[in-house]
Amino acid sequence: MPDFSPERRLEPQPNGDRRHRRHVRPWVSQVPSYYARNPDFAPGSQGPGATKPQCRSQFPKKSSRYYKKMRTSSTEVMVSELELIDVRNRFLKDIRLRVSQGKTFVIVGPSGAGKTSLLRVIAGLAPHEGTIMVDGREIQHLPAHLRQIGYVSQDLDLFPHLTLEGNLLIAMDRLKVPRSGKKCRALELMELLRISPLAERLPSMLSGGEKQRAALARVLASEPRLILLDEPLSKLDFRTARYLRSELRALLRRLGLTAIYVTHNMEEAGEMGDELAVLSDGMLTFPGWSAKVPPTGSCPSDSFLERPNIICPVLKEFSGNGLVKITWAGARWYVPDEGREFTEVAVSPSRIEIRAEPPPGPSINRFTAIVHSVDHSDDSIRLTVHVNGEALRVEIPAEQGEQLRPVPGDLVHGLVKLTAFEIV
Amino acid sequence: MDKLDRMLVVPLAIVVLFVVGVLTALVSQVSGPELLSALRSSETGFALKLSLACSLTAVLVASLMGVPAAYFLARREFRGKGVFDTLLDVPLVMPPLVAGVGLLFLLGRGMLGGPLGDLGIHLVLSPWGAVIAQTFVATPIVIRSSKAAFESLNPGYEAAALTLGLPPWKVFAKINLPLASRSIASGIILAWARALGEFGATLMVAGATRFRTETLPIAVYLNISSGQLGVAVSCALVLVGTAFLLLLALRFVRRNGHAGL
Repeated sequence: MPDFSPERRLEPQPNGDRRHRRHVRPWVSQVPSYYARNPDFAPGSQGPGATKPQCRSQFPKKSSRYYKKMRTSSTEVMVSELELIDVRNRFLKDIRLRVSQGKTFVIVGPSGAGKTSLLRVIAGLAPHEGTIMVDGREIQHLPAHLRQIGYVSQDLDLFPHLTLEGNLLIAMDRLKVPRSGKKCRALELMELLRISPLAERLPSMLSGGEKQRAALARVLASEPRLILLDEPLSKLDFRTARYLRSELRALLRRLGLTAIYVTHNMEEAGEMGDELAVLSDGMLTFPGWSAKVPPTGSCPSDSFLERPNIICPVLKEFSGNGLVKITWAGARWYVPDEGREFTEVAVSPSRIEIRAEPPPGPSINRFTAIVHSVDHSDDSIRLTVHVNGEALRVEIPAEQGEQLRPVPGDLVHGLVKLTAFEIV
Repeated sequence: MDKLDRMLVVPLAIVVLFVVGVLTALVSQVSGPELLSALRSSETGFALKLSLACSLTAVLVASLMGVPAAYFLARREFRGKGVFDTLLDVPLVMPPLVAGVGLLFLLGRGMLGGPLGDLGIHLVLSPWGAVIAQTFVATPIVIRSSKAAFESLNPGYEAAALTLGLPPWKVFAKINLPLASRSIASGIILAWARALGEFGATLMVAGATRFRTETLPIAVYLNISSGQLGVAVSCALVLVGTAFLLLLALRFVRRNGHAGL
């Protein structure tokens, strides 16, 4: 089996390395935007405090008008806040949304919910009504090319007739920087995303993960005020996607970018977002509601059946009537409100009811699941069931197991009583 | 080779013999030395130069008008677009002679010719008439192939370019045009071949005057009618040779595109 790991693919190639040294040495950073604010993230940096600007020699004198202009433009850029007021079109219904400076706002929702449509509206690619404001300035009347909003579509859309470097250079078209400065900047960005050895390649010669980085480098090259990412990892294989996700997250954080990240993957949403909203049927719910996203790995991957199921809700909504509505496994669940903040909910495997037929009674906290594995013991049967892809461990008494006779692949109906939940 | 293949080979052989027969018939009309001297004659030289000048000018004008027009047609929807589209294709199916008559009347004294003549511009019965006739037949070919090329582009590239801050004209010049360039180039080559061989409309608009409006096809016509087979055949062979080169160019353009398009 071929090794698809990103690490291997990104190993610097001998040629690329040589070229890269030849280019970097005489040049110095002409575009201070990222590195002025994030010195320890600059290419070649050994970490905080170790920054040495590389392209200083060609940098115009500080007194020059050019330099001042560039500095102001690049410091204003990148940290913008976005506000949508009653934005609507064929697919969207009165969207209100506020994305704070430097935050990643994740929008989750099923396919066809209008996620891409929303991003296209913000980018200026689709008609709409309503107000869109960036830093308090209305931009809805501006055409896409004047909005300074970067957009990475699901297909990435790298220009196939240009090399990787050419793709980055054309993205810097509107920046008032000399060509040598653009080349320098392109190289810096490619280094930042560790694709500089691929500079001369056409997009058709890049792997999925490399294309992803290239698209990101390109959108950063255009110095957008904020960036819109439309399921950017959806076309990658699982391992690469997972790896790139954490990398992307780190990049967004460290560059202090304002971003909207759209996905249908709850796990991805949990990892990427500072804030979350759900879009379905063109309606945005919980806008601006700040979710406490569990840090990655907070949910222990428990392999012991005796331990309770730990549920890390993606969204929580305190309704104030003694119940908290949580979103988990793509469904809504109600758990008791203990009047405090929490990140996890526990359910003992023995307190989950499983039946062949839908259980009677009120329809809250019901689920349909697929039996994944069955483990018989003396007095009980232990099952692992999958609810929308999330695993849940269930323990049923042996006599009930005699009636149910579960086998892997069976569809079963389940119920978790409100009292079965324990707030962790 | 099975039975079906043997049956299929027969029509193929007939077609090939047809083509080869025509070429042989052309060449065999005149002896080698006669052909050589005819090729070197000033009349053949003039016809070749005029043909190249007229057809290149015509193709240039056709491209400068046809490609932007096609870009507009490929991107905008409006009422009556279908009718409009069909109208633009009319020159493709119009008999060249009829097109020539129409152009002659349009450029004649009664219509545009009057005011233009007052300005000192005389298009009819001049080499410019040949250029106009050739432009008329070449433009729809350029429009048709360019429009198809622009329509087949992935709209995502344009969206990406716009959000990266490229103004629409740069999106056209730097993204869409290069991406469509291969199909546009093959359209332009076809249009050029068509312009080079254009006879009917040129005859009507530019007339057939020796050493004035004598393009290659006109030279063939004039010399056949006056019985000078040598010059007629040499001009015909030059035409065939040029067309053949254009066909080769077309194959080359179609084969060597950008990777990943």
